Amino acid sequence: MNISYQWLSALLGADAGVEAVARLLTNAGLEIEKVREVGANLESVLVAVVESTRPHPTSKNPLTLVTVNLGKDGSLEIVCGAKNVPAPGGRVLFAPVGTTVFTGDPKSPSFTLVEKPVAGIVSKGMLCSEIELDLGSDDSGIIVLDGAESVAAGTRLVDYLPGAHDWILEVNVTPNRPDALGHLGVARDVAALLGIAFGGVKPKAIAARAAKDDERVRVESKTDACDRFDAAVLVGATVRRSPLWLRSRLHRLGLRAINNVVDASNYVMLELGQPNHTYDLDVIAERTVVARNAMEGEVLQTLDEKTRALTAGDVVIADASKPIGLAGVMGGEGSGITDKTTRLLLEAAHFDPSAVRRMAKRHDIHSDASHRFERGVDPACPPLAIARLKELLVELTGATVVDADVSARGPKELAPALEVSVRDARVAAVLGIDVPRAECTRIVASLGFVMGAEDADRFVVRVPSFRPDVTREIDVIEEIGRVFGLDRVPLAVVPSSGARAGAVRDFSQRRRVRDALVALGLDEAVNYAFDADALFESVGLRASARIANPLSGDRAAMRPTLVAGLLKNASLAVRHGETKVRLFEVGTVFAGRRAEDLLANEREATAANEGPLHEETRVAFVLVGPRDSYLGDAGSVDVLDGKGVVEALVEALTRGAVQADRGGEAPPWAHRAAFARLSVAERAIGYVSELHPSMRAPFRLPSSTVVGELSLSALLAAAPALRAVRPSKLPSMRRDVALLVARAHPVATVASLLRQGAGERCASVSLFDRYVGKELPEGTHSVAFSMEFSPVGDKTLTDAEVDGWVKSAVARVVQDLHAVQR
Amino acid sequence: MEALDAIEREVDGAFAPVRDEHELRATHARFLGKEGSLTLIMRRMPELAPAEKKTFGQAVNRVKTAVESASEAAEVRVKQAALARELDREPTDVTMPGRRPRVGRQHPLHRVLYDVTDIFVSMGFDVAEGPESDWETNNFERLGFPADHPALDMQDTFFLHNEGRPGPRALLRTHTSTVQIRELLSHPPPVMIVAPGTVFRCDDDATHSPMFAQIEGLVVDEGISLAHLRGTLATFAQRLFGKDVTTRMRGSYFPFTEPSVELDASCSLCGGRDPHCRLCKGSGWLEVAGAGMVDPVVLSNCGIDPEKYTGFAFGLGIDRLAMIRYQVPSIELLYSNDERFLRSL
Ligand SMILES: [Zn+2]
Repeated sequence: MNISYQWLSALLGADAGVEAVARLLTNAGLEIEKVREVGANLESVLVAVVESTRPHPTSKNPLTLVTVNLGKDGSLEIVCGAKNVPAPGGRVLFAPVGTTVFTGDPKSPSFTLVEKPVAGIVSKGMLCSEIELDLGSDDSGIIVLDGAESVAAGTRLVDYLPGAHDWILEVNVTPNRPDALGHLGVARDVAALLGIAFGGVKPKAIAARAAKDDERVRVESKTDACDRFDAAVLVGATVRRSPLWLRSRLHRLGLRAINNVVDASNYVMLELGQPNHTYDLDVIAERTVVARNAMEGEVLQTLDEKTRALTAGDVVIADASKPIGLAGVMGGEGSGITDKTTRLLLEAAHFDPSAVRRMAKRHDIHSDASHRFERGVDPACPPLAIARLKELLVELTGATVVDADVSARGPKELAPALEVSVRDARVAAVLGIDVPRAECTRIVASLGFVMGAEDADRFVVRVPSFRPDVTREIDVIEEIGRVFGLDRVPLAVVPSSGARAGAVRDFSQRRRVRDALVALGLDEAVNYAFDADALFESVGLRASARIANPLSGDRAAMRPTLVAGLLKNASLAVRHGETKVRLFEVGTVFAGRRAEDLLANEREATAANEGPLHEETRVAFVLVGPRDSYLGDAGSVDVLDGKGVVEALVEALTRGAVQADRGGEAPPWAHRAAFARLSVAERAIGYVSELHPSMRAPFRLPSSTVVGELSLSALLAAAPALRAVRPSKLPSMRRDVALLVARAHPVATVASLLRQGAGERCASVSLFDRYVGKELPEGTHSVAFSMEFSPVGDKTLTDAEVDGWVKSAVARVVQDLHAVQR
Repeated sequence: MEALDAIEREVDGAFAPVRDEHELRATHARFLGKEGSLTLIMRRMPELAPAEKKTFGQAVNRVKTAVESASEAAEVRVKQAALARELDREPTDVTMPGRRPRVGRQHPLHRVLYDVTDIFVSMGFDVAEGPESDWETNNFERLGFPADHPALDMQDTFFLHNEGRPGPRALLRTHTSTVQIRELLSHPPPVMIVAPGTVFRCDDDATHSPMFAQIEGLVVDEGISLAHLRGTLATFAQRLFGKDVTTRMRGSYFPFTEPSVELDASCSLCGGRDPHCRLCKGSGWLEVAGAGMVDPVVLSNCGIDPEKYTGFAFGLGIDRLAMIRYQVPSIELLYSNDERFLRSL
């Protein structure tokens, strides 16, 4: 909502300073997002009187040389390109050299006037259009002041047009404050904050002549959506351009000036917050206006030139034959004001907020009227709006008011004014500060609340009709707080209750895994929880949960995996020339719940701290490119690098041992010759694999792309209880064993047999070398293990016994796997 | 005896050229090894007459001492030479890169999220969480959003396909305030939680991301007032931005708090003195949190007596804090997962 500071000050009869007012309003909940100074350039602009004109002697363009009288500054001859230069005696606006003038072009919006020849003739200034002075949007010619015959030549514009130098306050009006959608409501807040009296808007009473029969109208509300409908009739109006003060005020507040009737209507809306409408009485069938529900099949062409098919849920304003407006949303074509209109029907009504909101949504219209009615316009305002409109229109159009006012009520009773009881103790308990009773009552009274009964510990107030947001004691306390000054609330420390959270999930587990993966050298990604189906299909997966109203049609799938997003990220990095990628993400994946899933019930699921979708936290990573090495080439990553990440992660988190096999149902992105199902303590935690070759191309990723995806809960579930080891004071002993064995036997099997064969003193068997070469028998490799033996108690191991254990270990592998010791 | 004298004369010359441990051992052995010249002479001792033995013995000892001391001197010299050789080897070019393990980068959003959470946890808050998908009941209704009201437009909502199921509509939560409801339903007061998490809004432009991170705070107990809210957020702001920041509380509107406030902290960069400050844009204030006293209707909706208990709630945008801390020029970068961005922080 744009608020003119000059208008506000005029309503208040006080000028407290722009900055002070902006600060007060911001602190009280009407946040001023921006203050825009306008019209500072007008200080030097003068009213000039045309003395004579002559055509430009040489120019081929239709230029006029205008001699104007500037009062004490004498006369000047000015070159002017406009076609509407008035006859001698006409009043125009002169901007001298040095004035800032506007272009209407956003690329170079303004410039400073300098003395410069136009078609060979130098002017000491220019005669200006609305656009050039930023007083309007008309660039068809220069401004010619109407009815300004008595204004002396050389009068400063800011004296002729009080408030021409203004400040526009851009107010962020929250949805609970419909009263602040007009200058009146904002002025009321300012008065309360400044502690000054405020009388509101009081239109002059206009004498009406008796109405003739054909000047009487019939008005009716047949719908609950219209509480009241007030109307009045004016005759003898002349429709024309509004005076400069009105045109410029609307322009600065963001509305386009149209004609004096429509402009007056908009002005009243901006002043009082009451949307209203003016009709040409002569096109209203049977001079009858009814608010009613639309009938199925009716159509209405609205002012935005769109044809609207109406449904039974719509509420229309109709004459005796057809709808002429969408109630509280937008008027219809055909009943509006034209140049020929002389008889005016004024409407100010109150419509139900929900009904207007539904219509505005259904027809996708957001108008100044619907914006206000949706939020709740003061139901008591229509008579005031009618009175104000009459006052303005009589002045602007020369019309006469006839005695034909009508005020209809809807079928639904108007709600009586609410009375709210406020306890002093509650005010203090909520605000944390004692506000004296007298201060409380002063504040609410200044906001328009009517004081009721009072006793020792409470007082009663009647809520004004323009504050639909206030219905309870707590709402009145908020009013007291924001006007008293929330900044006066002291600081207090919460006494810690030591209460534990009840709604818990896996916050600390996610954090531990993130910390561990970062320590392992991976960078963390955060991808959107939704993306295009195509992305997930490119790793062979389909989303089972979808967004009904996605931002764009192709981003509707809730992610069933983290892998696809990471591959997209890796792809981006590779495209940017990165050769090595190490990324991980810890996040939620989603699946639709099966119909028979009891947790799909909202209440039950909420109690279990679950949602409508099945959510699971996953841990995923992608590795691309060369291994970490120093100056040399250590080869590219493969599935064992991925397995190593998981082993290190598990070691860091739980010290569990990771087993790998090729079991279960591998994910579609797995490479069948290079994937592993990983388990800890016999429980599968996820898969790691080189990326399936057919999925590399869409991401433009190299063959050295390894991905892994694990379940966070499975990963952390298998944490064994840890027990400290008492280290032996005696040395352990190592023996190396090299074996030639068929590659068909997994290395883990060989190691396990060695360990079994070596007996209980064998603490570990670890592979430290592997060789594959042509000189070895077909299908074999040479594997070398380091075996560690630990003493027990205080008995030192002897070479002889260790040699004996190694011998039996080797014998076991030779016997079971036909291995050959090397 | 002449032989002994000859050996003695030989000693110094023999050890003088010794250069290393190996030569040292060999030279020592030339005199005192199994076949050493002194050893061989000593072996002849028994052949001597008793009278000669004493003088001869003394002479042998004298020569032996000479050998040993020459050997020790040579050893010191050899060790010093070896040390000097090691220290004087060609120096390593230490401008070569270090051999180091790769260091990973935690996402800036999570760094800030955890820092913020830790501050509140240190003040006595526990961490609560709820699901990212939820129903309109928890996201709007129980929080007191009026039905069919423009307040709903404050949060453009992603709804989920409900596959024709009856009941409340499923959605992606638009704020972490859903956790207020879940926490209040889980146990009676006192309640003192923060709820960090991911939220979604149907909004995608230069300053909005359709997904972002928030942290919610909720305290419900007997005797909680707006002063507790202000004290809590002021302490938080000082821990996050520095001990000199001051706070300002001003009116606002959220459907689930009454009174509603915005809490601003004084600009930690310029202290309000720079009209062109990149952080506060010259206003001198940074918005820290939307907050307020828990609306009584929220407590009632969760079966809690609002006459007995009061509470406050607040919400902070993590993305904006991350953008301030790391001078991130646009919000979309936070979700770009561009390695060049991630590794710059
Ligand atoms: Zn600043």
